[in-house]
Amino acid sequence: MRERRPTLDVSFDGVEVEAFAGESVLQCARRHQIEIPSLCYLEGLSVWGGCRVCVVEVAEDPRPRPACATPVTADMEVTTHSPRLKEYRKAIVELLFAEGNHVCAVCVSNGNCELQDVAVSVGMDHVRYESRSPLRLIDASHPKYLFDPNRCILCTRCVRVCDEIEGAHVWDVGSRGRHAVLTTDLNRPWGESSSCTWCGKCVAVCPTGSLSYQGSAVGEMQHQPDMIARLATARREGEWIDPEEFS
Amino acid sequence: MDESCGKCTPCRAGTVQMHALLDKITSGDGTSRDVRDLENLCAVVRDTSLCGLGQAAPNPVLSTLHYFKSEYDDLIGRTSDVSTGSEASDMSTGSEASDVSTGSEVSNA
Repeated sequence: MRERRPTLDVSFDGVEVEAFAGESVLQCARRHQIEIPSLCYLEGLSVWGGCRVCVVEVAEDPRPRPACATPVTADMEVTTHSPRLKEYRKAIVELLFAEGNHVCAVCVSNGNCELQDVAVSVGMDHVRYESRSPLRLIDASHPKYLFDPNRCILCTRCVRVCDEIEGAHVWDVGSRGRHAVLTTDLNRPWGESSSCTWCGKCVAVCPTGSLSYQGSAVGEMQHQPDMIARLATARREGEWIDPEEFS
Repeated sequence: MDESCGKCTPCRAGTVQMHALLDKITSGDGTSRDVRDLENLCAVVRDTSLCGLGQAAPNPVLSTLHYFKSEYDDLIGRTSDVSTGSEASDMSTGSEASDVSTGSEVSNA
């Protein structure tokens, strides 16, 4: 049963709204249909705060803050869209596109991709940075699913959902920095994993075409992050919550 | 760049691009657009990185852009492809900076 939580007042771009004590700036904004783009955040999973797309400005704080990882405070004044934030978000998404090998035209998630959606919403129409063109090998060893690290943005939703919701902890991030890469078990092919339960939650939450169903053609992959959000929240709250509350 | 943990996008991906832009500029292949992109990228990495590593990494680059702008101007030579407006340097460098080797001649071809 959801308890009544103490509330406090915060403002988004000058508009005052009611916030629950303990929730994040992003959660509060989403509840009030105030748009703040994000990629690594997924309701129901622990906060990662790594993509930095959800950065907002908080009055009297000189540094932009990630909305997903910043708790609301009394009388907080948040700016969700400023010229500076727009430029920063656009640059961050461009960095993601230049970092991997994102070829939408041949991707299973073309048209159903959160990275594409965020790129559109932040006004990205080209990538100013040179593509790094890293060599990243596909893992097609799993009978049911395909992992293409060229499309991975290291949001770690798969890592978190497998660890926190399924409990198998198949996924981890190996190496570090620009060489960071998703690994399964002890860096073995996914198909050889002794912990994977084939539940598909990782595929369901992936925001790009990195994780998909084997045999998907271009544009065919439909992810289901909201289903996982509802599942995870139901487990935590002890009741099914209307998924519209988090989209 | 190589010390980045890899968690946040601006540091993981941004420092790599900063390095690439610096390489391009110092090798003589840079344009005024590259210098502008480098400057903007430094701000992104400084202001959106998750930890002090990314936040501080652009500092040396920003220092050189601030105090040695004329060297950047020399390096981008005549291959300007973007109108930079008023770029008159008002910084007196004091020392003779003419020892800097720009490597290959900038080609107009």
